[in-house]
Amino acid sequence: VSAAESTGLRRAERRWVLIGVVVAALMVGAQVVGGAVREGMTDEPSRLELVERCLTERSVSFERVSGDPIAESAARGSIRTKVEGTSVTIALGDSEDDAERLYQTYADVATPGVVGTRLDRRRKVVFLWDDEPTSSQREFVYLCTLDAQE
Amino acid sequence: VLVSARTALASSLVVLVALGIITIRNAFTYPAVGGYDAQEYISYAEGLVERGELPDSGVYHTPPGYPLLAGAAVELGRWLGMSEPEHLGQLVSALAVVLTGVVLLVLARVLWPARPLLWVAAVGFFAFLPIVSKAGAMFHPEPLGMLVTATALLLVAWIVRRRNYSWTVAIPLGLLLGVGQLVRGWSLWMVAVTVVVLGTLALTDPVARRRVLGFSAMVVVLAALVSAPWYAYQSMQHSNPVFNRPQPDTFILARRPLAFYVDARVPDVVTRPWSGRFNDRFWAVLYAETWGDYFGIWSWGLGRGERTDAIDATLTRQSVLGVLPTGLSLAGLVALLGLAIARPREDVGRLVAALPPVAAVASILYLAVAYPSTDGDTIKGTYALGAVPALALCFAFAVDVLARRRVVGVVLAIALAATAMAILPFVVW
Repeated sequence: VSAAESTGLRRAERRWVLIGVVVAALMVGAQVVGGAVREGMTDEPSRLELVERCLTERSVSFERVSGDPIAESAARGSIRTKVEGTSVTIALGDSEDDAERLYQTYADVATPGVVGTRLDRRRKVVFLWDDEPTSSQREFVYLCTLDAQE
Repeated sequence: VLVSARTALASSLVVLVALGIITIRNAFTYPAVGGYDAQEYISYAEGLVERGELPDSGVYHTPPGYPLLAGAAVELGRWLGMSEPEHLGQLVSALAVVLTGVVLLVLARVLWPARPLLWVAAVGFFAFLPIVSKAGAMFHPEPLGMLVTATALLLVAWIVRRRNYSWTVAIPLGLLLGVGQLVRGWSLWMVAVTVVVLGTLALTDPVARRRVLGFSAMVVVLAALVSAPWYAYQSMQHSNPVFNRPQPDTFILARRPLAFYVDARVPDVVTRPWSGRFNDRFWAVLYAETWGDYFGIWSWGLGRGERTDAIDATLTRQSVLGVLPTGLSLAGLVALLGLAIARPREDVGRLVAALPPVAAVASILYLAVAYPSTDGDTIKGTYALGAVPALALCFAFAVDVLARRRVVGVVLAIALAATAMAILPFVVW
């Protein structure tokens, strides 16, 4: 291979790699723009709305929490509902740390026997039951808060 | 020149030794039943070795190559008195990964003998790609399939460089391509890649055309002869020789929406790269599973428990870390394909690196469309594992060319070394 051929080859390789870099950048850029447009156009429901939607679909009534400063301090909101005859307050944290804060605050003011029975945490969601729930009641609220647990 | 041949070779060997230590350790720490369909593969291997039976359900569509080896390894483990002999089946996968790394190093040197930076970049990409480490820890046929495919690719590269069309080369290549079919059905794309590369050699070299065509015919016939009994058996027993589920009746292009093909689901693919977020987006699932753990078989799920904020942060970081290497691989792929098309007579060897990723992705895209699933199950990154060595060459080619400017080379070296170090904890189970 002559020096001229070698130089030509190196130039061609460089040109094609730069084309490749531009193609890759354009593909990433197009995805970023497309994603931003989609995010802007779609009104994604909040975690609380997703929980409410799940309860509504299952004909379970609910209300926003009032008079419970701990639940009301939850970053993603809180609701109160009744599952198979037992009322429960559901507080949605925006992180596991936030949920742990809610859990610990409840635990600090709770009467003996509440922690581990009526008070429960699943990742970012805290549940405070009025009476000790059955496994069926627990499974129901876990299922309806799946999106909020993330 | 950023690195000498001696330094590159030494660095590559250091990376391969590290890869060996990590993958072999993973094979013994990762739960045997933790991988994709692991329990079914274990039952397959045990049934095959202990009773000589092929399964008629589960992963019956998988050829017996890996179950035979893994089953023998499990038997050895029992004989040695191991409490969990299945780990020796996983060791088969780990060794396949390490040997593939060695084959890749040789392949890079055969294709580009005067580019030492390219060798070490290729080996580095391969060693730190999470899908490689994950598959290497599993009781799963894909790593062995990758080894067979990479060895066949090495032989094709050797033929391109030496222009040796002797029957003594055709026989091992034909056998390898046939054996590949007996390990993993979807490595059929490697036969197509071989045919295209040999066809290009025939087109660009009129003097050798007749010999190349005769050579190619011998290779294809041999590959078909080796794999035919398996396909015939599958066709007679299960009607579909390739996969374990029927295709829907609808027209193939109507089975997935347009977004499945074009939407990479940004920003979720980075901010929430786990199962359930974008099951019906091909590129997003492929990317998230390749660089992270979309399906929950590695950093969360069985053996690790449910996801936590810390795991979510790790998965997000993995998606971010994958952007630069993926972009460079894509750039190298475009460059090699462009050069191969624009300057076809100059170096047919470029096709050896450029074609496998295209063929493998086309094959898993077909799989995902022909057999659509609601949970993204048919878009696993491991299905394209056989093309990872070639993708590593594409990545390395781009790095090598860009690094000719010293400043760019130094910046890339720092960025990629930092990326590798950040990925390291993830690939250790």
